Amino acid sequence: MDSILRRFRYPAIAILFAATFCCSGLLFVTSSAIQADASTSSGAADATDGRPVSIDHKADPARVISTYKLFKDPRHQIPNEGVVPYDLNTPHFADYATLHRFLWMPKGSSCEYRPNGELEYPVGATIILTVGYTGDFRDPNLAEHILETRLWIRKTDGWIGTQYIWNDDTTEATLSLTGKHVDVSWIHSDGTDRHHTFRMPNRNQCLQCHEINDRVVPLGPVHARYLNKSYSYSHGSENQLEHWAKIGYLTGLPENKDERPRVAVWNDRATGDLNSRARAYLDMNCSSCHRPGGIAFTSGLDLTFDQSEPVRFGIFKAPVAAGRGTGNGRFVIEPGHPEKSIMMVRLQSTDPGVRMPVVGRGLMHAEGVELIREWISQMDYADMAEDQAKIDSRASAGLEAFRKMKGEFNSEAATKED
Amino acid sequence: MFCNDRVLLLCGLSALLISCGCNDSGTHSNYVPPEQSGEDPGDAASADAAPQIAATENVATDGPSTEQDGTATKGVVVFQPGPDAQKQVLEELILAEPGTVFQFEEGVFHFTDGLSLTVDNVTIRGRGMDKTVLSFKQQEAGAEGLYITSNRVTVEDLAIEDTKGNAIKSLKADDIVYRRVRTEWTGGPLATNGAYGIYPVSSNNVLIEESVAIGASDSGIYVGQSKNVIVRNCRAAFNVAGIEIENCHGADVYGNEATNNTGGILVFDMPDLPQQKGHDIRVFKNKVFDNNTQNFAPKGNIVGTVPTGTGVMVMANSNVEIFENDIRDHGTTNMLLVSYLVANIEIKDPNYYPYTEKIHVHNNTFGPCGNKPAGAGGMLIQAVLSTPIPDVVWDGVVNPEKVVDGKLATDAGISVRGNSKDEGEVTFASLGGLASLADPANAGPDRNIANYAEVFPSIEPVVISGVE
Repeated sequence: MDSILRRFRYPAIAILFAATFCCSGLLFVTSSAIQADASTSSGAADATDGRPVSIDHKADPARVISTYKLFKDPRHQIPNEGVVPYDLNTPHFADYATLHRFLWMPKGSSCEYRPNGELEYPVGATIILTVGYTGDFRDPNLAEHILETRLWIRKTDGWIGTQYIWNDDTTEATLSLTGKHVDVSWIHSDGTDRHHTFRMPNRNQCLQCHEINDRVVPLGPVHARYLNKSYSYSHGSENQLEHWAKIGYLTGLPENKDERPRVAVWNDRATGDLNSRARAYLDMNCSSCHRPGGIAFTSGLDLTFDQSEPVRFGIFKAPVAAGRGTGNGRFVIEPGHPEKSIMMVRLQSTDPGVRMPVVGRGLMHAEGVELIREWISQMDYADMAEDQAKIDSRASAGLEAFRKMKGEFNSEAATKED
Repeated sequence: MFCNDRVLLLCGLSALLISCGCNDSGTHSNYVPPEQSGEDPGDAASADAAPQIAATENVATDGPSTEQDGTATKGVVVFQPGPDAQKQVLEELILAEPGTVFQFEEGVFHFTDGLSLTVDNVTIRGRGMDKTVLSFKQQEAGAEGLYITSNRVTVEDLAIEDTKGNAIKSLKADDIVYRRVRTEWTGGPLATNGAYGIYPVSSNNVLIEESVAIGASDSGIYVGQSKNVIVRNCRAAFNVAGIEIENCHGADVYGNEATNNTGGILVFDMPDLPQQKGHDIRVFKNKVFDNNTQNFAPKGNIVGTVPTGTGVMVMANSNVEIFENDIRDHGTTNMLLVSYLVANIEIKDPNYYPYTEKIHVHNNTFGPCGNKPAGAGGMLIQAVLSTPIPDVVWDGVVNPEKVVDGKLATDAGISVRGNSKDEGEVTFASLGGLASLADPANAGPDRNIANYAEVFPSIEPVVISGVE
């Protein structure tokens, strides 16, 4: 905590931060974020006493997470009353970390259901994401190393994102702007020992994914189709949307289940075909940047779930500023040829100058890579492939003709720079 | 278990490196760009570094805020190289107040993480591009060395070296200034180098001046999808593209020196992007010579198609004025004007305009060229024209909709007039369109420069408020 506080040596910093971010309608955790009330920061006792959640969306973010009383038992991520755990049909990959997701809403407020488009959360709604590593992926009941909890609080003029980093005992987490690197180890599902330095993002890195159209936004429970799944609550299994409706967190849910769209689970063949699963995976892992208004919009690549124009989601799309990220591929996706597709190079690399996403992934997601490999392998865009082949043959015809005209033609030099 | 131990370890390592780092900074290991040896800007500028900085307008003190040009200056944060530098710099940049000046002192700063800035009206300043070096040789995270997404930022008098990806990228960062910044990959031109040195994109009012870019595997200085751009008095060497203006609306590129790249100065437009139809670009009074470094771009990048030994190249832009440049000693050609159709990639974007139109080439001085064409492009050109390849080569591809009764609308063509050559006449050829490239034996090139003497109106200069 000292290191955090030490940073706020400028008295005016709070005002300046507010000025910087409010004017563009976005709020993110800032130094103004520090709630002056120190009386609530007494730590573990408050965090575990079971009193109701206390989130004042008008207040600046608390210095310590216990102020909010979100958890009965943070170490085991047992939430307090009103803090509802949820899951996503296809979550994003976070270096094999376990992600615990929760939603809380102030009494009497609710989210309005929308079949498509983004859910509109009420003022005060709070989205909670905790990142941890279990010691042995084969035994989920074993102790977990809880690292950080990220909060999204819906304020009157937009979302504010904050990050709290837990202490070693998981008794208290402290507001952080600068992130942290933590060495983690676990036994993987295949029984191998794994070690990794997990990088809790700093504030600017958070914004790289969470700033869209100059506004700060959460990314998880944004579309109902990702939430339309069953969840094993302590009281039993139930559809999440139905549960939310039952407890008053959601209004307008259609009675007819068939009217509620559901996105495929990326690694469950029973939930959707290969294309649906791959598109869900890319949507959840890539589209916060690769969409109009995201930071990668300058690439022209749009990996949102609803993009239907093939070239826009990568089919025979030439790279723009990929540099060595092309891995010598000509197109983002060359249908039928994952080995020639730039997307595969990006997903398989852990090199900071090549890998995608640029933030939030330091390890290769082997299972995700296999999904996309399979997807590209089985793709068939015959018309587009034929058109491209014609152009290629025209180009090689010229070189071929030249080869015949001139015996001394150095084909090696030409192909090297083709 | 926590990484602090690890950071300390790395910092310890950094400290060791720093102790010998100052010697490192000028020598660039076993690779010394020939052009740099005689004119290392640091040598001349070092003694005057401090007074120069004191004279610049944005200088601030630790005292109370001062009002300058309506912008509050909030103070100076000073960074010294050393084991704590990375943590300090990362944190201070995140917590920056608008108006802050970040002063990097002389020495080598080692970073394992990329730096980022999201706060407006900030100056990041060193003590000279060969005195203050931000080295990313040990970079573990971050697609850039420095990533800027805020407005009214100035970066000056420092170097960024050996990043894993781009050296500096600024995205949607209006009114940005890069001044006396050096970006370099110190191992020389390698495909494993990052793509871009100085890389502003999707921004309004971009000024890059007196900067140096060396060794980028794509473009040393690359301005993409921006409006109102000035690149002046810079030096770009040993990149694939020295200076590239891509999908920009309004750019002045002048007083620069581009040498030993694969292609010296490029003006390109690419499909499938938010901002297209590059236009109103002026390239003038540049020295573009001896750009014959073998193309080392990773395959797939558009600059990978640039023939080694190209001086100035224009692709798919409209209204480009190229004048009073000195362009010489290029193996393929001094100037290449082409449509995107030669890129051999199917155009799927209905809004894209692939043609190169209204290119005005006048009053340039050309030197020798065209005796050693290279790459597939160079080979194809040679197939049609034989060597020596002329000073100015146009692919001859025109928009068929602009041909009426067999005649091309005057403002859809190109103009090459009033240029001079060291010895003999300026040479020119139109390849005669794509058909020639597919069938060189039956090509019908047009070498009569007199057919291309149209006078196009001059393009208005780019004006950036507050920039002389």
